[in-house]
Amino acid sequence: MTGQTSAMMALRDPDIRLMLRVRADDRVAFAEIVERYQHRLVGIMGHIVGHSTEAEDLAQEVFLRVYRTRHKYTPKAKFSTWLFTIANNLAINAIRDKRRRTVLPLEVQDSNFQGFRPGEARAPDKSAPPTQHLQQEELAAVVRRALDDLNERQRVAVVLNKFEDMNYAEIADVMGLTTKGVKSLLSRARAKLREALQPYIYMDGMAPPTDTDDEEHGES
Amino acid sequence: MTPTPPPEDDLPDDPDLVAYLDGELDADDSRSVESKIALDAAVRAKAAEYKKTFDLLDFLPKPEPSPTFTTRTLTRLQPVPANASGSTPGLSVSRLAMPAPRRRLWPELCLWLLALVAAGAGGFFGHSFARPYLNPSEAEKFDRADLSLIHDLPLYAGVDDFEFLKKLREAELFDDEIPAAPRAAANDDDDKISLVSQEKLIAQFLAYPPVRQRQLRELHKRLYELPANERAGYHRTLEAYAVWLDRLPDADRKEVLNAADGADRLDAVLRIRERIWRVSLPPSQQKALKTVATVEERTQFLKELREREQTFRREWTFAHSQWQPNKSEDQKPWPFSDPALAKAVDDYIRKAFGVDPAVVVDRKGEVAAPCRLTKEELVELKYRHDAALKEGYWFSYGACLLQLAEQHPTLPEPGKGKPMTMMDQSPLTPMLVRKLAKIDGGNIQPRFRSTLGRWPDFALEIHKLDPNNKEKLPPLGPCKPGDFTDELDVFLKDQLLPKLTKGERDKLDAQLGKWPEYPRMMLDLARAKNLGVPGATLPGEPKRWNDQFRIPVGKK
Repeated sequence: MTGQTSAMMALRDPDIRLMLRVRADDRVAFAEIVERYQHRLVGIMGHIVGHSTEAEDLAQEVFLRVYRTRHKYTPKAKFSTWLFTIANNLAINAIRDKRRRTVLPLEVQDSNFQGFRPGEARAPDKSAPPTQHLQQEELAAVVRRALDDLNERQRVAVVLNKFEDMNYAEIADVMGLTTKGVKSLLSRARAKLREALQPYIYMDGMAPPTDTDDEEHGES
Repeated sequence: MTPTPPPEDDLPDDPDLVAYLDGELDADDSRSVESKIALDAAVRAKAAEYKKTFDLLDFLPKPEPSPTFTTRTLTRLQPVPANASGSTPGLSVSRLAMPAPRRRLWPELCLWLLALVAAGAGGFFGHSFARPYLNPSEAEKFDRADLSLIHDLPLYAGVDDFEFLKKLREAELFDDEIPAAPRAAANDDDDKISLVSQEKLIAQFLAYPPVRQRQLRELHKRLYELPANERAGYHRTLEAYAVWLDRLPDADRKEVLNAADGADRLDAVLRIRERIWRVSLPPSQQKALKTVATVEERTQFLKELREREQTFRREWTFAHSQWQPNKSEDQKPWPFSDPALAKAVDDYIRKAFGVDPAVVVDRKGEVAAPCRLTKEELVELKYRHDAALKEGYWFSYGACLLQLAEQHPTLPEPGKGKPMTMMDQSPLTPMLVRKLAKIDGGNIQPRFRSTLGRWPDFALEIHKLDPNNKEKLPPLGPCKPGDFTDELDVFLKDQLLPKLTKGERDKLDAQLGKWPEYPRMMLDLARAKNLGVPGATLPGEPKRWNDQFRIPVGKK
């Protein structure tokens, strides 16, 4: 594709056209970008950091960076790729910062490390056998914990793949990796998720295909 | 070269199997994985588990942005006070966003548009306008003295005549495209175009058929007969329309420019704008639109979306237009620029909303009396207050205060004693309250829980039980001169009463001794006389609050 064709294609993308207006200091266009992308960005950030207020703050910071760097913008790729690249950098830094700051709270007097902070959903102990009637909220908490156990890059890759429906090439663009690197990253992430969530994967009522199935069905 | 991440844990992984499930393998590799799945039950089970565990992510709740997300993000782009700039790196976003001198986009963009005409690019543009006027031999001589028309010529490329322009403006299609900054005078440096461009434009004008030349002269003449302010509005529409045309994909631009006449052209503009708007809706709204069953519901849904969007844009444009004219030297607009009034605003917030503006808001806790705001309102007020103090966002703070003052009107407090906010301060016996509220027995406090401790809400709730005062209840608040605070009594005597006509004074006197009728009428009359009532309304002239901080409601 020639540079001219790609530039013409870019101009047909309404988001790129909007961003070009932002580059020309048009704040109404910037407002439109915020309106268009806020749901996706807050959603993605929420899945990555697991906290809605923090997700909003991060999404807001992404938009502000877009505005701050508007004069450097050149329409090379899809606008969303550029936006999610900024989001990726901020999200990864946020997770790393949080991890660095995480210390045991001084006010914890007992040794019950399974205690929860106020407002935090109670996730069942992984070692305890899950009941068939695990509530949806509890299941969400289990899934959240499994996602939190991934390292920051695995988490971002999984979230982009799952919730933004991005293919490996797009994720590679956003995260600055090779497609092969994304394949490896996602494979490891999925293996970790499988290990963490294995006890819960048949919570939807479908029994796992085991050898004893026939006997149980026969007895009932 | 982009890096490949190093192995990050010891778990056995299956890159090909996962990539196969994600649809990322080519045909050969896919077949290879498929045969493994078909032949090996363990691989099959593993694939099922990968899929299932991935599906479990759907249980995660999806966070949605708060309703004020856009506004909050945009207010962070507002300018910072000049005295706070320079050495404050944290405020660089705001500094970058200082309103830049208005950039003249149209001369460059529309010259390009005209170049299209001149070159007959695609034939559509020049042809469409030339079609009705095929008599070049009658070309009129261009009057070189009339350079003003030449300077504006790029703006007229796509405009039939003044009637078309009028309809375009009335349709409010482009109001939000360019901020409503005052247009510079015609002889501003910004408006100057190079001699080469000028010659090109003159040549272009002369190339038009005489009928089109006359049409353009007439359009220009009518535009310049308008008062300057009105003309500036038309110019904004013209600029925005030209820029919009320039940015359209070719097919859409052809659709507009090839229209047979002004009416068809306007239809095309409306059609294309609607289509672009729909396509650009956020995915969540697109999804919601798909679930709408009937045509009526769909129309209603789109109408509501559009109204919401228009409201937001109006607010933003208004905020933008208000910023520059209203700020004082220290960058604070009235009333915050006047220390006495600023202090009175803080006092008003304490009295009317029952909250200290400097209070630290506990976002998780409940809102306790005497605060009359909801938690969301309290958080919003606190946010605006802090943003105004720290970063100079005074307009947002003023608009927020005006809105809250209207949502939570208050009444003057008594000069002596506490205002009635609890049952035990009430002149009514519990037995009478029970009778009025038709409560048979038990505790009567829960019936009034939402207003307990809050003035004048609790007293008004009691008043509502017997609005016509059949039980001859004593007044539940101050309702005649002498009952109010000294400051308010002085205001009544020295400021309000002397301004009232005899009829108004009689009306007010007729309410003497009645609560809440007397103080309400006093507030109404004060508003009509553009007077602020100490402790009961926002300090300063009500009209000035309105002019400065009320976000206008647009045409429906």
